[in-house]
Amino acid sequence: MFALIAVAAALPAPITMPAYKPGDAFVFSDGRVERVIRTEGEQVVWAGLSGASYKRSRNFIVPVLEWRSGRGSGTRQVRGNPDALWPISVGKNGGKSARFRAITETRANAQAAAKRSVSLWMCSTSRLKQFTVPAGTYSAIPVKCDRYSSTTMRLIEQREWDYAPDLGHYIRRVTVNYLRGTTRKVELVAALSGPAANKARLTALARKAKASSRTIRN
Amino acid sequence: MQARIIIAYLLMLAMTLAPASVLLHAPLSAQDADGGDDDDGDDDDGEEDIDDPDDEDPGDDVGGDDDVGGNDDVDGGDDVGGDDFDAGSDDDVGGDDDAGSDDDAGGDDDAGGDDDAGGDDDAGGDDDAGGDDDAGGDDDAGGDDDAGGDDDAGNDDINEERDDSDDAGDDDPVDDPGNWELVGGESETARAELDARDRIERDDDGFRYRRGEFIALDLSREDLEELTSNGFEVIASEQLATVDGTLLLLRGPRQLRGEAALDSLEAMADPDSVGYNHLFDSSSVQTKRTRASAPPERQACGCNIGLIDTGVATNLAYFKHVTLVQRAFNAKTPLPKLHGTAVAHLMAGTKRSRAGATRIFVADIFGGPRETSGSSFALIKALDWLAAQNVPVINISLSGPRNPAVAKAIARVSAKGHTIVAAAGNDGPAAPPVFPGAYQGVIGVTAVDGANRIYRYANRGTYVDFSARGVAVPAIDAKGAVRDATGTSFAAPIIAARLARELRAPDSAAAQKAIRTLEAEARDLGPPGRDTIYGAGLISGDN
Repeated sequence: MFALIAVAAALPAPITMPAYKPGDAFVFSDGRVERVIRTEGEQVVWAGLSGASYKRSRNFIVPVLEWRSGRGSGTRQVRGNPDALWPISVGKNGGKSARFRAITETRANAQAAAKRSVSLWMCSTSRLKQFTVPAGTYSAIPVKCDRYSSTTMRLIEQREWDYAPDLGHYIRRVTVNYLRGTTRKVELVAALSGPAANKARLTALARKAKASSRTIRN
Repeated sequence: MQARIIIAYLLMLAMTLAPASVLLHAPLSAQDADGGDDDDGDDDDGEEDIDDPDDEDPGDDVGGDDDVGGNDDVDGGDDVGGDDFDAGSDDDVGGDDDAGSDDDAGGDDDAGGDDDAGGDDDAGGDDDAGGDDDAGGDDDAGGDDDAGGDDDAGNDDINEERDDSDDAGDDDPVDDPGNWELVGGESETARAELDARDRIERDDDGFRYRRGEFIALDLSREDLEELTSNGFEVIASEQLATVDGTLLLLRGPRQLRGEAALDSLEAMADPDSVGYNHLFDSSSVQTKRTRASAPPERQACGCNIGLIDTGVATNLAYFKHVTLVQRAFNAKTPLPKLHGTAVAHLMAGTKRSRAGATRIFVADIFGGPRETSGSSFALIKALDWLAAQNVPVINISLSGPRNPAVAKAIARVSAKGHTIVAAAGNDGPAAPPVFPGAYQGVIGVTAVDGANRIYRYANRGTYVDFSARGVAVPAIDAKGAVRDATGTSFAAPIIAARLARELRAPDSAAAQKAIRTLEAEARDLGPPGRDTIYGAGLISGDN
């Protein structure tokens, strides 16, 4: 009995879904800033420094649920259980998976007819790994999702988030678009919270991040 | 790959059929309303035609060349109507697929990048309306007296203090550390407006400084001559007794703005001695009302200790058993506020120490004109004064940018045997380091809660040396009300007091020994050994 308790105590705590607070802000290597405007239950309203806000689940594998872009707008419904991924166990057999469909409805403008599309997402986690990004070195759990066309079952895209439980956000995101043959990787440069996450400081950090990513590309 | 596709297809099929089987039993109206999913001729696959914010095209937020403007479709991808991308290709059965794929292109909206700090303005210089301060600062009557001494006259107006008045909504859930407070109780928006009025700009890292003003420590005569002949003007000069040398407050030439003026200054003088007249923040901390009518009993530190902070409400009964000496460096008299009062109270405890008398020297750098509140110029003068009081330990529960002149002053004071303890900062776990906590040789302190979990907003880094309780710490505000205060600001004085108790006078060797002793006593938290979150570990505040 005591041995069981000792073993249980030695096991690392499972990793729970991120919990954000208004003001939390994350600056990425491409200059992108993600700032929490408010939380609404399980959903989080985010915005960049100057763009429209958008809504997504605090489970980051779920694609954006509500957004606007120019005159257009989009909403998404999720079928299935993406939250089955959480909590993630850290031990040897910690890999978990989840699958869901995302039904997307977009409108080019308020008067336009809605256009729908559906895709299937299959996600899984692997074991904690060390990642070094501009914001520091973190133990992070890679979470990978494959997106398939719902009609052809063709693999369209893969996204990987390397989620650092210590930080409560992902520190790296890699997107492979198989249709376009592109891979895009962004890394966390800084995470600010509270009054420090003000526009002036975030703008300065984003500007520097962008400049240095340009330098690296050149 | 093939097998993967087949499995995915079967899963997809199962997920599609499951809701359909439910529908078979549902009333027709419900079926209609359901909106179902595909198989209704919708364009499967294509996914979002309107770029969603997941599309992480470079660009966005800053500087914004890219995107926005709505034209998001760019490379052929998405966008309304457009689908197709992979046109022609085979795979798709029914045809229309997956084209368009979604994302990206266009990046997300926000571009524009208009936000930037910075300011417009100006034309230099004529500013300082509000006149700066105190020049010289030595006025404060009471000077150095001690003896019970609240020199500050001003105490009585504490009622008017905005940021000590209790937070409106209060009593929030237990684990909510309460409302954020900025200097003067300003919101971010109000601060931006007031900063524009007060000629406060942001440097390259987004930190605040007084427009057109620079500080210099120990310029050579030749450098000074070159500066003045190039349009720089000395606004104030302070001979520093303990830090040694001369501290200058300079104003740049009208035609040179911010960075250009600093570049010019650095080209003419030693860049390690000059910098903006940055403004430090004392108060990005969280506080909330508590039901307790009195703080828990605790002995005073029984030490001589200094602190650079806001003013302290020295007339409160809570301080009767200690000697408080207070002086203002941005005004004629100190202005008591919550932050300094809470920090001083953590050193003072509630009763006399058996170890001996407690003398707390307070340097208020915030009271006075807003436009110079918390200035680097005031901070260096305060440091010099505290060092002259021969206090072995100086607590600085402030944070701000790296500033060469401040760094130099701190290094000089440290070299004379004074130990500087500073808050690690409340900027966030992956925020860039803040100073003075991150300077070499300064003891950086982070905050943990009652269950020894790290404070969510605490900075992390190799400069974190110790942890102490800094979440929901019972503290008193400038009116004597008990509040729960949260922030690394309230952890730092625990460590400062513990070190000061071991040191009677400034002494580098003795300080090193005291630090080693404290490291040995620290309770290791987090990964084994010293780490960037908790430093050497937790030090209890119990006396």
